[in-house]
Amino acid sequence: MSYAIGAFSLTKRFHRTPVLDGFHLEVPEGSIYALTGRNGAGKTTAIKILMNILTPGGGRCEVLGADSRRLGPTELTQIGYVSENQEMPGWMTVGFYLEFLRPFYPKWDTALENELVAQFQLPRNRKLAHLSRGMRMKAALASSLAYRPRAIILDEPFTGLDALVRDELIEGLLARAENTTILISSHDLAEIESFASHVGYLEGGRLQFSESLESLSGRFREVNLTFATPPAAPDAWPSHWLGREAAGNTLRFIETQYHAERTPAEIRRMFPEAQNIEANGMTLRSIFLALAKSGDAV
Amino acid sequence: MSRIFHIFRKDAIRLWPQASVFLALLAANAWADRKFPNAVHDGPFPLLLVAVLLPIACSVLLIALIHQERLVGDRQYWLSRPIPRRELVGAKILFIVVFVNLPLLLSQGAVVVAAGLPLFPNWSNFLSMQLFFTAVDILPVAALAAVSKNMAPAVFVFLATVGWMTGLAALLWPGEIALRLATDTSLVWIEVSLAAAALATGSIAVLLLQYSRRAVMLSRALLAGTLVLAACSLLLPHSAKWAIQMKCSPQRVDPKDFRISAGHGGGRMREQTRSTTDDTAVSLEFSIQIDHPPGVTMYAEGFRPIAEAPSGDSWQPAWALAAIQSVKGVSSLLVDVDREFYNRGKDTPVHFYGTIDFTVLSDGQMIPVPGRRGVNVPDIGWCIGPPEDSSQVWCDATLPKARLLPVVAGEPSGGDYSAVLAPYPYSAGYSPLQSLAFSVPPKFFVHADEVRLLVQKPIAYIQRSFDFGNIMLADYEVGHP
Repeated sequence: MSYAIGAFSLTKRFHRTPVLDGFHLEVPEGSIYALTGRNGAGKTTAIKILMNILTPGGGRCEVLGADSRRLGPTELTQIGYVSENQEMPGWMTVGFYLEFLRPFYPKWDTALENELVAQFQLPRNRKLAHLSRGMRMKAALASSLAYRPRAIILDEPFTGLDALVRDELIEGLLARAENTTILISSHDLAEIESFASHVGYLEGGRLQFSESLESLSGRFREVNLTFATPPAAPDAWPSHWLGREAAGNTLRFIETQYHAERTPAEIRRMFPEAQNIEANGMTLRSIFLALAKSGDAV
Repeated sequence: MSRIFHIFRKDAIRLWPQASVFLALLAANAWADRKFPNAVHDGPFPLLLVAVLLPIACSVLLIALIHQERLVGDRQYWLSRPIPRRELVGAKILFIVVFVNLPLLLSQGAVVVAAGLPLFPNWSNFLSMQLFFTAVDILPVAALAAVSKNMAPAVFVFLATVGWMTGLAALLWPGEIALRLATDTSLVWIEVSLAAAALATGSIAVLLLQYSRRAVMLSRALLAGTLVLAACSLLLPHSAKWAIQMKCSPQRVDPKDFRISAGHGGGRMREQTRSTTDDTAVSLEFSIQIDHPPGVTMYAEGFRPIAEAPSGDSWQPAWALAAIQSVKGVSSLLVDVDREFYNRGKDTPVHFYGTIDFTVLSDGQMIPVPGRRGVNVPDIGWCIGPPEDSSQVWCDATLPKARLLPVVAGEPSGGDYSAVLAPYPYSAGYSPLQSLAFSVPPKFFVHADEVRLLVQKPIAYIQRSFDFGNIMLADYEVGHP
């Protein structure tokens, strides 16, 4: 098995609205996989199906080799789950919450729990309902790391958190999650870019691409062409060039299949009159925006 | 097992305020049960409030317990935690036993002891009451909580269901339900048992479904079906209920020993003055003869008359209250016939026949009227004689197994108390006692030693048919010259 988490031809409808439509995902073992997509794309639904919180309309999922519909207590002792919209028992104090969860995990490491509580500066005697949003996410993460899970699934963990808390969460997560497969859905692309190894983009109920961040960064380029006079629009435009924008003597587009030799040659063939060609690397955020605006699969 | 206690401990820490309120109300109710046996009607207002709040407090506690690990929704933290469902259910059951069933048992035990009744011989009655309480008061509320997201919808659905079913019943059977509930009381234990069985079975199915698959829509449909089924069991026809009652006969009797035939009084008993005031019915009165073995009394419970005119016109009610009266050894059967049918066929011969359901009672021992200090009457319970300003005898029983019939100089006098002689206690309420009251004849206050109470135990439930042949209904009308 080369993947720790997988979804195959997954479908899900809410009433008559399709949310997932042939969703396919393979998260390699040991990877940090970022699931991205615009609001309402179905990221949370996909994750809840993976966690057996929702039932799929069709298709199947696997988490650590187990069919997600049969995820039971045994499997859940190896999976951590943190979600921004998870309802926690607000009446419990942090200490009581951790103490309550402890007996359900055979591999719960109390020393690690203490380390996490100290690292996240969690007040053990304070009720969860009285914690700030950031502290609540830290408590959720601490309670999901203390048993050294083999897989951690995080659903929008950084939403609404300030930069400092985000850094603390990421630091805590990465420091304690060696050899752990992490699936994270997030809008915070700048943060994800700093630690994700793989990325997938969900749109229209299915993944538009899924690959390593290195590969993705390698094939996306923002191309700027400069001309002596305003360029004429070519008759045919390659489908892998997105977001065409012309302004005066310049033309800009996104190349989604960049190759150091092929791409300049193709541009020369299309625009022989171009005086200058610039191909700049893109951030994940820029790639995400370009894809979201184009709405095309690449 | 240790994790069951772990979850139980967590729930106990969380729900102690709700549990404390319930336990306090339960204790107050038990105290009031002895102090003011009829608190709902004549007790002080705070006790009336206790009687109203107690079931509400119990429901709130149960709903809050189930909602600690809510089953509806997809955001609950516990869904992604390795909390085994069996252990979760086990912890909930343990909580209910510790904080609801056990305190209820203790309070009922205290009430029984305070009423002067023995504790341990009543263990099977306590068990039965716990089962009914669980079936009617616990399981449906738990099932409702299992398919609701929070307290407000659960309460709303509960109230809406009760209101809807009451309204529907009133719409479909106007007046009939009230009439039957008021008159067909001796078989009420069958209706309640069937309703309790339906509620328990359906609720357990809903809980199993929710805790195993969290199939919310299916569970809600199942719960709605359960409530409808339980309501329908309260409308079981008398004939079906009597068929069940006959199977519960303590002894087998030979039906040939019990006969009903037309009496020799030419129809009416002129001493009777009873006539109906109902514009829709006409009272008829037939002199009848009931033959039965010595030492037994036959008590009519239900009546299914059929009147057929030669024209094909007929009157055939599903059920009617049988009124059989005996005066100086002569019995009469009183029947309220539909006035329209009567007017159409009163002057033509009508074939009149049918069946009557009887409880056969063995005449037991004769006991004196209990005094003010009370006495334990076998097969009844603790009975207290009439105070100076009243003619009522009060009896408290967990499970009355006999009737008490006032007798003056060897002759029955006045009505007996209408205890439901069920094979087991069927109360789903909080009080373990049935309070039974009846009036002693006025003679008691003049010659107390001439008045006795006859203890009559049921030995069989039978159905006998009668056939008066072709008769002229007009000859039997009460008030006919």
